[in-house]
Amino acid sequence: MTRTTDLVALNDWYVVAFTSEIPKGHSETTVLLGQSLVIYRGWDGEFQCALAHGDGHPPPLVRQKYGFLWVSLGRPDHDIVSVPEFSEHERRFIHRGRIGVPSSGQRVIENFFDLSHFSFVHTGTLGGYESAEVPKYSVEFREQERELWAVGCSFVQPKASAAAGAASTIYYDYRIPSPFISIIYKDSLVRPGRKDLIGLFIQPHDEESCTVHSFALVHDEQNVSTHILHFYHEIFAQDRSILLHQTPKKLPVSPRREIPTISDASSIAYRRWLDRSGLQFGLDRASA
Amino acid sequence: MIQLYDYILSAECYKVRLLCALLGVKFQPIKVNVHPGGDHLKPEFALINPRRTIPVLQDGAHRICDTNTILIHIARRHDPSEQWLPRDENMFDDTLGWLGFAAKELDLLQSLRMNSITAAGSASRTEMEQAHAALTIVEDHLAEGELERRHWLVGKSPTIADIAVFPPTILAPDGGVPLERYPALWRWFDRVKKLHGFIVMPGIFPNLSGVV
Amino acid sequence: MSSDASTLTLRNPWSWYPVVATKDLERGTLAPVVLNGERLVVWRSAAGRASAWSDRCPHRGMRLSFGAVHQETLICPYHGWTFADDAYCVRIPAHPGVAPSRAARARVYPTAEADGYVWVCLGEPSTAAPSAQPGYRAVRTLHFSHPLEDVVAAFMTIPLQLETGRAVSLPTEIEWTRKADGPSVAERTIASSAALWAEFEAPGMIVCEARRDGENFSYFIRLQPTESGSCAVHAAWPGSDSLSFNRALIRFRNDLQQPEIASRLRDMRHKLHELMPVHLAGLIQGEAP
Repeated sequence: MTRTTDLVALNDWYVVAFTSEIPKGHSETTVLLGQSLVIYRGWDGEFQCALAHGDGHPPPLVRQKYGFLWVSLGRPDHDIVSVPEFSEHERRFIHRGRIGVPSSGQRVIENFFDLSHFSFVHTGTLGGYESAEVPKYSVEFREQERELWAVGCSFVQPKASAAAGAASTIYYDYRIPSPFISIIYKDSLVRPGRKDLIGLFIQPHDEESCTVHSFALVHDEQNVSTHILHFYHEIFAQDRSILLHQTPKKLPVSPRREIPTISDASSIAYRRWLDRSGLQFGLDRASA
Repeated sequence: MIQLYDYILSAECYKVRLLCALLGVKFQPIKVNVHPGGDHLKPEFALINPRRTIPVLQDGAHRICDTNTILIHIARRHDPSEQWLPRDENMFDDTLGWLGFAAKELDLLQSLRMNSITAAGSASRTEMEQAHAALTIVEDHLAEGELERRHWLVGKSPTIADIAVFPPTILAPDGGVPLERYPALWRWFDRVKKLHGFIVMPGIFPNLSGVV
Repeated sequence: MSSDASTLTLRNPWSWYPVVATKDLERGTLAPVVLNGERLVVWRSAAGRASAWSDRCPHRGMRLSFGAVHQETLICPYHGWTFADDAYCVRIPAHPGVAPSRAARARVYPTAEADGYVWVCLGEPSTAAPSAQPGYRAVRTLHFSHPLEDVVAAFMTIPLQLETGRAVSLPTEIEWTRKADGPSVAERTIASSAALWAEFEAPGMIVCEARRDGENFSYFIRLQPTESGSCAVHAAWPGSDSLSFNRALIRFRNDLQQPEIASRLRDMRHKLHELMPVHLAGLIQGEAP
């Protein structure tokens, strides 16, 4: 595996671990953007990260934020994504574990904000065969075009969350603040008017495999964490079985490669946005 | 009501859930945080099952800590037709033979799958060859059966042998083991999916025909 | 066209290949197939029509072979896009009132059904239909983890054994004959107590007649190149005892995994190349027009 030379990819921040996954005094090796890393956690709880094969590259930048360990291999021109809800303390934080996916991070992100697969992939929970229609939503750029948002999304869901007792129409906003991060803001079924958050932080190992680190910030005082966790794992493993079998594994950017429909407005915008960003890593730029 | 210590992504637990669904047996799931918590490995779980594995079935005061034994227990108690665990001596032996095969030879497929899902690693070349060798045994057996109009692992009806072998084989792609070279397996998957009462688990695609 | 076998593409797209036996593709079912490195979904509609498409939904690249056949349509498992038997999308569940774009079409490959098999051609077929060989019944499709050329060499030189308890009969003497009236080549192998006559009937197809202790039996082997380094064998024979034939095939496949036989196989393959340098690739693969 070789380290990517793509500066757009190198200059971003990535989650490489949930901090409590690595005990004090332990180290772990991992791969980010084709670069092997050694992560070490000292007895003081602080993390150090070194390149396994330096080859003259500068040492990685390391930060702890939101309970996760973040690394950049380059010179990021922006801070780690801001998620104020982490400090609001009105929701429960749930670490959903890491899930390996043998596909590009972009395929994972695109699947995450896709609405029209709910009825077929998450039948009985997030969708049903009899209510597959996707209502119109809009796509916006925010934060000086830095972030892509799909807003006003809605869907009829038989069991929208672990806390759901009956089918209901759920409203969503999707935020894509970087090519490898997406956060959903979803109607809470427990506290009307408030939003639950589910977020994916993707660690791309190489262009065709990644680890998904994810969290939830939910209003749910009733269910035990394990119950909520099983719900998420069911959903994510269903998505994973799609991601395993999509070809190509890299995300095609040309609209001719994969034929979209109306409900793919967010996917079309995501692919264009990635194209314009100059990112190469994990993208299939063949035209036809 | 019987209780099942369960994890949604465990194909071992799914064997029990599937048999219960096919026989119409109700159970109460007790959800275990296997990933990322590893709760089944903790000392408190060892009091429930010293082997620290799931599934575990609690039926009244009786506790069973082994998948195959659970399948046998449910079939004996809830299948008066004796289809799922045949009484016929040869068929009974063959059924138990496949249960052993599922526990031993197909265990590698299960661990490759969980390693892949939890980002813990991928198959070595040797493991890949072992996985294919095990799948070839099932493929050859099913292909031979089709030539004799036997469409199940044991005889002409599904048994708990099919329930034990179906999950690890159909879920092989989850662990990076492709199934294109096993056409007889593929046809058998289709037959299993068409059983009345069949349920899926994540990684298994439902039979969409006629329901969409 | 070039007479040098090495300049032929290893995997020639211009000929028909069997991919699944007719009996093994029931109505309303599908099968994933790999042909020359291309992933295909082969499916049969409720009315009985067999089709072979690229195993890739044109929408988001999902494999269609994880979907389902419903009547005369194939449904993608990802978003439920439904394709009619002309491969055009006829239904997008996310937009029930909207006619799908004509661009939403799966890639279709020429497909024919003859002689007990579904045949697929990845390029322009050079003949309207695959060549027929009546009199043989399709019994079994097996996958071999060996290069196609090695499996050809094996079927050309090692007879199947219906009595599977015996040791494999490796050839002691080989005689090659090139037929004057066509591109086919006959070949004879004599082992200690067994004999085999094997002949290319057409590209990728070998007719074998084996003799063992004075008893003769014949069989027909059709080869399907799958991925590099492996292939599928579609085996047919005129006999009624399919079980014995299947067991002989399993034994044959397992024998090829023995190291000593694998090394002999390489010799046989080289011998084949020496004896038939010009025609061999064409005989195995079919010749490009």
